[in-house]
Amino acid sequence: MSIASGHAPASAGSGRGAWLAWLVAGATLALAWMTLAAVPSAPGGPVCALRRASGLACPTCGVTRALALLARGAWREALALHPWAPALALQAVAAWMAWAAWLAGRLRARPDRWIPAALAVNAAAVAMLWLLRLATSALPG
Amino acid sequence: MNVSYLGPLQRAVARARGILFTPFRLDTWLVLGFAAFLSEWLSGGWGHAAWERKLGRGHHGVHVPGPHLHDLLPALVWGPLLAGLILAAIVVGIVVMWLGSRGKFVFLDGVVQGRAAIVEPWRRTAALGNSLFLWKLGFVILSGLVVVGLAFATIGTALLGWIGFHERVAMAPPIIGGIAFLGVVGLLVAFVGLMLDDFVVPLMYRHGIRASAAWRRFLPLMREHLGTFVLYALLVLVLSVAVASVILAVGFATCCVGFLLIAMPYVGQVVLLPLHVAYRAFGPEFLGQFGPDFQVFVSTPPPSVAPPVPPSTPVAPGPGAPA
Repeated sequence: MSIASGHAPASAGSGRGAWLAWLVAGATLALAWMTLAAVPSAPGGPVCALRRASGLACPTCGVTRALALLARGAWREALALHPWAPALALQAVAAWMAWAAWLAGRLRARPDRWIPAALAVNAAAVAMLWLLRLATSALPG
Repeated sequence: MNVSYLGPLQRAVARARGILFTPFRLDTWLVLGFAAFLSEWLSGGWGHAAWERKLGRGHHGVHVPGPHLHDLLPALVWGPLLAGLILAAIVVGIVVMWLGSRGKFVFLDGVVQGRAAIVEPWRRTAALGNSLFLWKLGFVILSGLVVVGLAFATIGTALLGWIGFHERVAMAPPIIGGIAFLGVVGLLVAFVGLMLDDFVVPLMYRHGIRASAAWRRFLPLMREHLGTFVLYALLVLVLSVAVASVILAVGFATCCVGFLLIAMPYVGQVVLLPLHVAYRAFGPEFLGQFGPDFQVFVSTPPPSVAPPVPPSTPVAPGPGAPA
């Protein structure tokens, strides 16, 4: 069933508003990155509810701390804390650049069509990593 | 008459998939998410009155000494302040209820037409939204009066027993009866709210009629199939528990970030949009089994290529004018 075909045909929406939204998104990403650099990455801070209740780290436990380490340039430590965190950061930058390419007309397909697939891949990767780390006792402390 | 429960649910899920994923467009999600925010989050305020709990404190004690000036001064300051706060809360509650009532039709229009729009349906369905608001306001006042009356009667009975006017044992049955009756009233209010949102609102939209007229169309059907609609309410309850369990699992699996996202107004509606759209479609899909007069979804060409819809066409109400 497809009843959502009442949209305007996909085109590079290169209006000023679209570029402004792109700039705001970039500025937000940059601000988030700078804020992350100030987040303490040592264990012992507030941890997830699942870990408090069961002693078991959840699949995304350590992502924020790993991104904070990455923001400070400590990529080895970041990878050790959560191997998927650098991939998330790279995806955010790639999505922002793909958005610009689409706005500039260099990318024909709308980049947002990849969001469901990207979410599914990320969820699967995080779940598999969690199982792997659980099996090898490599979950963050 | 064979009434299916799973069939409408499957069609509602397929409809949500069609609107939101074929193709996936972020702008559709953001706009329809705003309609869902107007419809679902704002109209969740059947009883969002935190101030009621605050009011309950400090008014039960019996003052043994007489009033002194230093006792009265705080009351002189806090009394008007409290009254002002209560008045402001009531005004905000009424405005939110009005926005939610208008939003109901904006979101329903988006789901029925399979498109993301705010301004045009907001204007077109204005009269329907206003009628729903007035009906809701009357219902909230009426049910509030019943609940407050029952609560006062129960508390009064308990107090009489407590200060020894009557035998305490003799007070137990009326108190338990009062609490049980309050529970029954609560269930009835919830059931009426469910019927209103899931069936009466779609009927208003389908025929372009006021809330009272839609109830007049719906009530004979409900009387005839009361068990069916009670089962529908139970199914909605079971589905809600199942969905809440999944949300709980996802929330815990994401270091509670999922909970934060869902709790944020608007962002939560965008994140859970497939659920909102599927649920918004479920009621009308279920209702459609009872005959053409109750069918809200009529197969129409895509809105962009559809011919202009005359006001009498049943798919969408006329330009905001209830019959």
